[in-house]
Amino acid sequence: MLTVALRRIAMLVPILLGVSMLTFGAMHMIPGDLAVALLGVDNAQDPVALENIRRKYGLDQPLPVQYVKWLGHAVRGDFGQSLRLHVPVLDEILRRLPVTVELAFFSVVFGLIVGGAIGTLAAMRGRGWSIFGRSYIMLGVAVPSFFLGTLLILFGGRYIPFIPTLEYVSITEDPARHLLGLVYPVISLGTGLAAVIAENTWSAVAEAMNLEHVRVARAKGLDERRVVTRHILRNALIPITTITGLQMAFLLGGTIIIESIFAIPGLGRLAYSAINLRDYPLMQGIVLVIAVMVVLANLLADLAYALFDPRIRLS
Amino acid sequence: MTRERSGMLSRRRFLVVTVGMASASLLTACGGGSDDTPEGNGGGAPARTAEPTGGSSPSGSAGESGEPKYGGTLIIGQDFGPQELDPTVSGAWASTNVQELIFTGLLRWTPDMEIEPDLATNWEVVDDQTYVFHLREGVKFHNGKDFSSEDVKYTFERIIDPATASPRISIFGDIESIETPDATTVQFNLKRPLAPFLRNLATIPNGAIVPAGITGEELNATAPGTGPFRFVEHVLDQEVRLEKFEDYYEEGLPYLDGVTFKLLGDDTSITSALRSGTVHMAWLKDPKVAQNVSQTTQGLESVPGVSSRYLPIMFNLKEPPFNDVNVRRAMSLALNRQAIVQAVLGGFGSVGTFLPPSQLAGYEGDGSDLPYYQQDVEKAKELLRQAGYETLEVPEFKVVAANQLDVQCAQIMKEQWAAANINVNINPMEVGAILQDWQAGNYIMATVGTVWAPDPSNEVERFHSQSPFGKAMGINDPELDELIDAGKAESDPDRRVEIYRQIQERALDQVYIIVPYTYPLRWELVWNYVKGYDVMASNARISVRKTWLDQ
Amino acid sequence: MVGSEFARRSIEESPVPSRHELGARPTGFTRLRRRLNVQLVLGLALFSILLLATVFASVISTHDPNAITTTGSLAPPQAGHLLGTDSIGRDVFSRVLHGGRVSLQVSVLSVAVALVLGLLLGIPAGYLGGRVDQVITRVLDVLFAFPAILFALVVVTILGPSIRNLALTIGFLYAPRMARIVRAPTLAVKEREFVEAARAIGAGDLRIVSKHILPNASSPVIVEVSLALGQVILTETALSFLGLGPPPPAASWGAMLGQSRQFMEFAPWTVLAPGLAIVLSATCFLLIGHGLRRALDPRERSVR
Repeated sequence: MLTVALRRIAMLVPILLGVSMLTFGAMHMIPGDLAVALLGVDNAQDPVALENIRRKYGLDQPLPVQYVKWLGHAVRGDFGQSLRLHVPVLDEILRRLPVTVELAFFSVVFGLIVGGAIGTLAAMRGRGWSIFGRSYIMLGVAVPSFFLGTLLILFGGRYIPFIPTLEYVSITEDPARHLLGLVYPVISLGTGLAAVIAENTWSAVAEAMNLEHVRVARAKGLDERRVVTRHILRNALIPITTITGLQMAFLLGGTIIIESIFAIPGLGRLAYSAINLRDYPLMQGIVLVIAVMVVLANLLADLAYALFDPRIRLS
Repeated sequence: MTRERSGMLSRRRFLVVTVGMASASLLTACGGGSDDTPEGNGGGAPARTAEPTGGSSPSGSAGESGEPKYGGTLIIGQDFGPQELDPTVSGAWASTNVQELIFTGLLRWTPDMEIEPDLATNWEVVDDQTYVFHLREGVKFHNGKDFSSEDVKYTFERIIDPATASPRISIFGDIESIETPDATTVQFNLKRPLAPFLRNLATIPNGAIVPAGITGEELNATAPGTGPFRFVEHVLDQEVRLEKFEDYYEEGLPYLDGVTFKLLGDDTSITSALRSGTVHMAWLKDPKVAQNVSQTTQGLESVPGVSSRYLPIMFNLKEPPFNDVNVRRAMSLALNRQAIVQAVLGGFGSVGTFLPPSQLAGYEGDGSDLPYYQQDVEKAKELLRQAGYETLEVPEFKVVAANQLDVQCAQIMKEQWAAANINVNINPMEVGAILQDWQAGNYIMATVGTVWAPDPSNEVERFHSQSPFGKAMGINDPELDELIDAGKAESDPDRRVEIYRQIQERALDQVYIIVPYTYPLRWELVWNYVKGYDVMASNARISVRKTWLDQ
Repeated sequence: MVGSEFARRSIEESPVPSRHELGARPTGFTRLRRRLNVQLVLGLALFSILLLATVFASVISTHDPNAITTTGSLAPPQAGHLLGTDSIGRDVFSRVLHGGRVSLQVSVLSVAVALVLGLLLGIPAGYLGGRVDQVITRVLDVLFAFPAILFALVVVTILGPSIRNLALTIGFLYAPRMARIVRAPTLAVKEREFVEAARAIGAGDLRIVSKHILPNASSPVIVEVSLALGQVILTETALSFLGLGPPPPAASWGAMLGQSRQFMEFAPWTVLAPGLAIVLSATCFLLIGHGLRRALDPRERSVR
């Protein structure tokens, strides 16, 4: 098990390198002088500052050298200064990170619970649940998160007064209100994931139900719930963890939209502002951090997978 | 900042100098980090273009029934936070909103748009080039420092110092010297008569006084002013917190314990927050939305405000097609301004010029007496043909993307121009980018909405061939230059009005600018338990110092 | 992205047996006809409506989508304006119809790009195996790590929001999925005896690929293309919602939704109309995708 884990982690390195290369590459697509873009037009007036940044990132040197220099700074957490905010990029990112992680976390939980429940019920109870399940799977993906969020604000705000819309309070200020304020964002963000999980759970559960030992257990009249939890879900966990991992990129991308709609001060909204205001150092840092988050999330899913699948544990 | 290096940098240097010399009020888009500082004044009582609708009449003046209560924090909804707090260099409207509670000046505006004493208890106009101010005693800055004449001297010398690169350098550029005979007396010696001088002093951030010796960094970090509220912190994209300054010099004020600006990103969020009472007041950009909100929410009072914003559409006069006055005239003739007002503003605005009704010499007619304001598509096509165009293709019309109203206006105008065989391609851009392009003269057609300007001299600065924006635009009209210079120096109010009317006539006749409409900068919505708040033509919120919450 | 072989197999394996295995040569279409299901029918019906509406948008529209009508702004649905008017008085119905064009254009182009890239990556990975496979898979993993929206935002900001840039970026980011889908059947087929036999008689790789592998991959690829079209429409509308789509006055669904949010309370049709259009389009492609998958997969699980 440990070796498996270590091997997985080791495989991260080339992926992370690739991620960093792509991020680096994106920055070099910027038309015009990169030094000016990194300093901002105002600071770029200062030739000393220009010279410094050229030297720091080796902007006059061949591309591979530039990459190594940039990477050297990046791993030390030095992404430069945000043009708009005048603070180090990493500081700002780390400050906002918990908010987004929390949102993503709750959305995943929502997706797992709702998706898992619907998929299981559809597989085991058939007919009504089956139709509902199929519709949910379809609509959960087809309804874009920004539309769902907009509708929730519109109707929720009007008819459900106790759930606040567009009010972000930090958890330290008022935990109850903070959590309530997350209800609509989590639903908006998590529904897509729930739909995908429901689909996979459905097939996994259905397959599990056909397994020999499960049929035997059911025939023996064992308590339904025990059958479900012990045998079926255990089998279903495997594809579910995998699919969750695969969806993380999509989920984190969705935070950009959801945070903007719901006025949540997280990384997604920061990304959107940074991009809008052409704050290149900040953009760069955020893209890299989010990509790394996706990789890590997948690693977690991988490890969880390894945990659940005895075939791997023993191999 | 002014060192030369390479060819590219010298262009940049030009930019810096340009920016440094630009009048503050020249531009700025409102919304999304607007940059522009209101200065100047409106002569006389502001004219309302729209009746206040909704819940009830405007919250009006301080004398409400009931005694002011102490305590509570006023929560104001806003889209973005301040870009910087240093009043000397800041440009953003969002910055001004915060600065006007933190800093005060020698003079200030009353709700009726008159000038009254503030840090200066009285003053003498010795002659039209010499002003003497007598300062209030016992005033403290937020950092504990005592206020005296040396702070005034430092503040204005800093503004006119080219090294500071202040956008207000041309407003106060005519200051020759500042004398401080004693701690409570300041004398300004001007190079020339400067009619707008007092009005600019009364406007934050133009006339905001900062402590002597302070640096820009310190100002942005701690912002110690003399105002009723002190800066506590700015949590990005979340809130700006101010708290009561105990040693504020006006007895008994402020009533509030503090003011918090909630930064909500866009009007949809602000609307929702207003309805639910999460914020106590806010202003909305779109009159259609504001009207609906005020009508459908009990207890919310709406105050449309005075027409002070207009959309200036500027042409690059250096190159075809707009170097030909006939083409420009055709552009103006193709438009049906009334229809635009109706469609975009829902009627809450009016046909106007670059001298909005709230401005001295502001235009208050309906456009029928203005050159090239009456729609005449056939004439437009005729003029185009004269200029050699059967159809005209305008590759790019830059608009601020974040200002939805402006984009809507652009789309309607595009349709109207299309009927005259003029095809305009709209390019929504980020405000900073447009400003850069504008200052560099790198545009064919562009528009950046203005905010309220204290004085007409600020509005017309851009037509002066020697002004940075005039140069970028390529304007060269000696007759107009003369008028503009005269207007700035003329002290007789009636003659000033006459001069600006002539400027308006000339500029519109040559169509150096197209203005589709003017309308209130912001539509303010206030909950009825917010008392003692005065809406001002300048959209300044300085009356918050005497506002209290009836809760 | 996930290292485990088991995981990969469970997700991407599409159990489509080779034609040779089944003996006779039932073509994809024959199988289709035998397996028309509700989803597929519904999806195709929606698609034809979508197609007609888009192609004949100019004919069906009651107004010019950019024309400012005299009815005024934010007018509710009424005679003459099926879906009301928007914030400056344009007919929403006409705009929705024309909006489909942009979305479909970007989607089709993106999926085409993704398909080409996917084939170029997935087939060598599956066919050549070994080192090549490993390297390509790692590359795909890297691409998987980037949220499409984030990266598209960055690229569009830097390079400008043209249909071409959007299509290239989105296509580029969806290529890994295509590649994965192509890789599995490639792997499966290359092991079969007839491929060995073909090689034995000297058939070139290219020939083997085109004659044996591609046809077998066709089913899952068609399914994936359909599903991808749905996904891409959602990504594209999200981008234009954020303001990065084609510039105004282009009637793009996402932009219509984004700009009308502030009027939602008192003019909900301005938001509901484009929103529903998006949902219907995405649904149509998803239905077709799922329907095709069911139709083309003889070993489908009986539950659905």
